[in-house]
This record gives sequence, structure tokens and C-alpha cells, in this order.
Amino acid sequence: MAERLGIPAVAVTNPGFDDQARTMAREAGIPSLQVAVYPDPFDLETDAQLREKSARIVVPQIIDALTKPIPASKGSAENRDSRKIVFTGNIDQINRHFTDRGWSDGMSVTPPTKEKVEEFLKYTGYPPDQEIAVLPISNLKATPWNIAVNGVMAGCRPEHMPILIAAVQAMGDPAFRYRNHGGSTHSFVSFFWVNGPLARQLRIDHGQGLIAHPVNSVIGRAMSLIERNIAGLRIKETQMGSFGKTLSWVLAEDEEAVNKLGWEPYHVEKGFPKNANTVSAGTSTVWGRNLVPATSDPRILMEIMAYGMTTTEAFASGFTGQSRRYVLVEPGVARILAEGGYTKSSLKQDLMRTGRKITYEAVFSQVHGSFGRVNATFETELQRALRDRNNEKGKLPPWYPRFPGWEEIETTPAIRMVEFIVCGDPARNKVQILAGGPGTAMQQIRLPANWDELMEKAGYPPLKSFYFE
Amino acid sequence: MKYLTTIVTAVLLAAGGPQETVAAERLAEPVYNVVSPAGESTVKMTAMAPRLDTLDGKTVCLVWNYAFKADVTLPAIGEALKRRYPNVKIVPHYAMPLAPLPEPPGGPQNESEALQAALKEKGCDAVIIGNGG
Repeated sequence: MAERLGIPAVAVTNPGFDDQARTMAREAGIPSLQVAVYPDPFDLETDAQLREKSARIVVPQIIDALTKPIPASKGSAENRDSRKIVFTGNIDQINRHFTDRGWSDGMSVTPPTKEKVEEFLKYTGYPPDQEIAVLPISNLKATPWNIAVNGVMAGCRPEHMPILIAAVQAMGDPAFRYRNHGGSTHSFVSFFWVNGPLARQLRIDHGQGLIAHPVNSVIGRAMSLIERNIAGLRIKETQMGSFGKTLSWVLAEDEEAVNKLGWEPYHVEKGFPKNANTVSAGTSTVWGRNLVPATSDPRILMEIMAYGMTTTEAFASGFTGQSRRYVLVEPGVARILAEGGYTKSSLKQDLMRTGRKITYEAVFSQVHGSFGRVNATFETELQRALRDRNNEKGKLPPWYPRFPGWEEIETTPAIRMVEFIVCGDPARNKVQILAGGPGTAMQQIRLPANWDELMEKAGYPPLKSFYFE
Repeated sequence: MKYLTTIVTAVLLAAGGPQETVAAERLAEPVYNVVSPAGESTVKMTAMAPRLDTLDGKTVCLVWNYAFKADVTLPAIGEALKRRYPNVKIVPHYAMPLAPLPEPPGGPQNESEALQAALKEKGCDAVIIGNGG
């Protein structure tokens, strides 16, 4: 921003993040961001080390960055013809080329020929070059054309296109907060779940093993390639997940089971008609934490879920209550809850009421285990937290002992954002808790007018046969 | 499980095993013409601001992104610059708005606008932003 105003600027970063800063700046229109590098992780240094190394190592770089002329750079970003043939070769050569260019995840890709891409475009109902979204981090435009190229590479079928397009729209929705978490060091994985009859028509799995089902996994891989090629994520450059980032996973809700319970499927809960088709997007730092409820008492079941959710967080541990929990509930577990009188809404309320952390513990992890908002000593932060209106006495969760004086223990809410998706093995008793950033988004899937005709040719039963009354 | 394994093994033996693939005819490898998977650029490059001849006598503004102990490093940088350039004016990080996270194009740009206004109001000749990690 300063550069745009004609004011020379320099950013201070840790090693590795200098390239990320330069790349992100270039993709925001700043061709040669100047960076001064501090050599060690800031948060592991003492204040004395920070002061000494800043003066000795960083300041000379700052002076150079602000006073030495910068060689002229290209005037504008590269614009290219998306139909241009960029390479010709056999499978091995194409895979090597795509990996070298950073276009592939390293696993074999299906060659994205024009013919294949054009076949995919038949299933969209959008003009090939229409803007679907502009995706951070690189602010590149997603179009049906380049979404299809990535879908082909991943091994998708042409009929997966409406889901890929809606998923990209969800990623581009500011409510998803992709700009904040896409390249984050916390290694947030974007994941997606599909509701409505289309999920059943395309056989997106909602049962045992669902994310590993070939249909679910190719759509997930396509979304990861889209993150790479359209959002612009590259490890050691813009995807800064400290330990990397796994491929995206894709879920569907077991709506038949949900309906039998008298609960609402996810999209109906959010105001969509039962037979609408939606894609929702969330993030998680882990493929969930497994909980194996061993009770038929709905109240205790809720409590063990609250325990699992309270102790499963994203970000650094010090961000109590700030991660959205995605709770995958197997149908058998959901049945006990529903028969015990719980709706999704009342369950959510009880989980949020029950899932609390001892304030002292929350402040301990905030002060010693978070990257930023620590303004003072532990004692000062504790006093501030104890004054917070959400901090209360007498609400100690049921998994703590009731020794004399327990009513005086201060606790703070640990669960504020909850989404339920009923899925998984109907014969087992599992709950999977995923914790991610607060951002989530949902998009209705648009099908082309001739969808039924296309699907009949592709050998699928008509969409209407998957409707629920 | 043990019994299941024996059944599967028996089925595999009955199917004839891998020798069929050994006899497969070698085919000429197909060659493909492929297109790029990359997104389309939407940004226009701006020119970099001209650099200063010296920092002496200039106003250098420090901007904090509220992370990674820049509230410790930025003052240290300001003090070191002051020692080297006695006439430099340092605007401390607490006198400037926080560095905004990138705000989505087309949406409200409140934080960016606040920082932009402060850069003009404080007469900043140069800006140091920290810390990225």
C-alpha cells in the first residue's frame, strides 16, 4: 500500500517467509517487495535477543531496502491464452513437466487435453471464461475452463464439474476466510461436504470409509490442485503450513439417516429446500479426532462429545473457543441423541454450555502458546480474562472432580461454533471432531438445463429418483 | 479374517494371476497436447516507489501487524536507526494503525484506508512493517 502511495517500504520476516511475502506482494501488484530477514523464529527469542539481532542484522538490510535503487521490473503480470498448448509429450513427460512447473502434486495426472476439457465444460451451464471467483492467495481468476483443467488432471469425471464450480465459489466467499487460512502455517486443510440429491446421484459416499471412496477422493484431489494452480499455493513459497497440508477431503451427509431421526440435513438447517443441492466448505488442521462413545445415555453422550470438542482445537492451543468444530456423527450415535430428545439445535446449545475450559488453563496456553495477542504478563492476562463477561464460576464441566470449593473455579467457553454432519459407518459408534478456523461458506450447486439428458447418456438414473419427499 | 484371506487367495489363483499381463502387446505410447491449469491473472503491477538518498532527516513510520513480537523488534529498529541517523524522525508503531490483513477486493477496505490516511497524515517518507512469520 505504501509503495502505491509512492512511499518506499520494507517488511521484516523470518527466513522462508521472505519468499512468501515477495510472492504475495507480486500477486497483489507489487513487483519487487523489499524484505529484511530476521534469522530465527521470533517467538522463541528473548526480548534481549530480539533487540540485539534487530539492530545488528535487520537494520542494515532495512537501510539498503529503503535507499538502494531497485532494478526496473516487468510492467504487468503475465496474461496468457488459456487454450494455448503449453506442452506436448507422453504421460511420463507430461507428469515431469507439470511437477517441474509446480502444477502437479507429484502423483500422476490425467493429461488435460483441450478435448477432455471441452467434454467437462458440457456439464457446467456456464460460458468457459466466466469468472467464477477470484481466489486468494494469488488473486487469480477461476473460470469453468481452468477448473475443468484441474478436474481432468485429478481424475474427475465430467459430471463432477457442477460440484467443483460450487466448491470454488464457496472458497471465494469472504465468509470462508481463505485469504487468512489458505497458506497459513497452521496447515489448515480445506474440506467440502455435499448435500442434496446430486450427492446420491453421483454416488458421493456418506458411509463407512467415505473420504477414501474414489468419487470423494478425486473431487478432493481436484480441489487441492485448484488450490495449487488457481489459489496459487506452493510449499516453501505461499503454502506455509509448518508440517505441510494434506489433500482436501470430501464428505456427503447420510440424509436418509438424518430424515429417519427427524433431524434436518445440513442444508435444510441452513434454509435450503430438502431437494436443493449444496456444497459447503470448512477447514481443519487435522483429519479429526476420534471419539468412541460407549454409552446409551443421551446426556452422557452429549457430555463426552463436549469433552472431545473442548480438547480438540485448531490454531495454537492458546486460542480457546476460536476454532469452529465440525462434528461428524455416525447414524447410530445420532439415533441415541435424537431418541433422547435432542435436535441438532438443542444439542449444539448443550455442547456450547458444557464445553468450557478452566480460565487459568486457557490463559496459560494463550500466553505461552500463541503467536500474537499477548500484551502482558501471565498475571495481567489472567486478571483481564477473569474480568471478561464470558468467564463464570460454578460451570465446571462434568469431567472435573467436585472437590470442596469447586464452585469458585472460573471457566471460559471453549466451544462457540459447531456444525454437525451425519455420516460414517452406520454400524459403528464413532464421532469425529474436526477443528478449523472460524471461516465457513456454503454454495448452491447450479446444474445445466440439460442435466438429465447428459446424465442419462452417462448411465445414471434421473436426479428426481434421488429426491426425498 | 484368516478364513477370508484363504478364500481371496483361492480366487486369485483361479483367476490366472499376473502372467496374462506379461504377454500384453507393447503399444506405441500416445502423445498428448495439453493446456495449462493455472488461474488467470487479475492484477496490474504498480511501479515501486523511488528509494530515498538517505534516511537522515526523513520520517520513518513503524507499522505493527500485531504478531511475532514486532512490538519488541520495531522499537529496537527505531532506536538503532536513530543512533545511526541523528536527524531521522521515528513514528512508533503505537502511533500508527495496525497493518491490515489483506481485505478482499470489492469489499470494504476500512483498515487499509485507515493506514493509508495515517501514512499521509504523519508525513511518512518510509515505512517498516513487521513481523512476518
